[in-house]
Amino acid sequence: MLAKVLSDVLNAHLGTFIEDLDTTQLGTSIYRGELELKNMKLKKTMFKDSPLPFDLAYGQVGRIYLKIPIWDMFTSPLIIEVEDVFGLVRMKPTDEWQPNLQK
Amino acid sequence: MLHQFELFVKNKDLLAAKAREQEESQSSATFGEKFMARIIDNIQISIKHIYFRFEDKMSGAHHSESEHEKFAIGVRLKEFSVFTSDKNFKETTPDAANAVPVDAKDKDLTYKVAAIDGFSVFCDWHQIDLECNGGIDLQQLEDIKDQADPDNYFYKILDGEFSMNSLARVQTHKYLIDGFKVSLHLQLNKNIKFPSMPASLAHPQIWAEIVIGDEAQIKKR
Repeated sequence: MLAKVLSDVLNAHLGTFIEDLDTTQLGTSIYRGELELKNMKLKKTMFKDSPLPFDLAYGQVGRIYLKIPIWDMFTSPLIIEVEDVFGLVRMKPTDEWQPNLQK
Repeated sequence: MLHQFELFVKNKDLLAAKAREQEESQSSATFGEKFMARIIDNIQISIKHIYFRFEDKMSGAHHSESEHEKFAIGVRLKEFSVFTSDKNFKETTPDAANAVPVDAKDKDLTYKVAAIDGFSVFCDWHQIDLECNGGIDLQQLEDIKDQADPDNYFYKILDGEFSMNSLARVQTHKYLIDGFKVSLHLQLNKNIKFPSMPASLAHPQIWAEIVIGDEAQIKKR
């Protein structure tokens, strides 16, 4: 139940950056306040609505690990770990440039 | 006379009510503050092996049509971390840091280190060879089947970038910044509500020391 809610929230927020978030890897550890996500591909459309003339050719995040001790905020450490991030950015074809696009 | 007495009583009640209000608001603030202080004490951030690369076929030095004639700019970060440390800025767990007996003066201090290690920026305008100049084969990246396999092309790229020896590093890329290292030593004072305290005892709220590389030191308050 909690996993379902959490995966919905994650999908809604991370969905703009990350391709099909695999929520099966959330597992039961979230009840202990742990969250580990592995091998997420970044969405290539990330720069689509930006005025920058760049395109993401490939992007991947190897691992994100969060430990939020929900029951034990005062004594346990709060851990945020991000590992292995690679992004390859290329120039957009000139006819797709949108210099006047404002956010 | 009676009128004055009434005024006095009224004022007293008002003052008492005000004082109570103040106390309440203060105690709730201190809980919030304590909570924040604990979280700041406990937070540990670790970011490792970040590599971004910009490639452009048009800006190569020789303007040739070759697929590998590219212009590339890359940003690489080996590690960024924030952790709680002991007095000498060596890593420790928050619990261990609290367990060490300290002077009353140091009781409210948290020592934190924020460090950046191995930050590099390179700009390759020369011929990029797929095999030995850190070139990227996009097709191979797309074709990765087993994402969890630690030997797949994605991890190969990162391993290649982050485990090079110094000779290979110089041969592979043309660096603008290579292996930049900086760490910030922070002393945070969690208890700042004693204006009456003598200046010699009082600590500043934040005291920072910036260490660039391993040697040069700039101290800042």
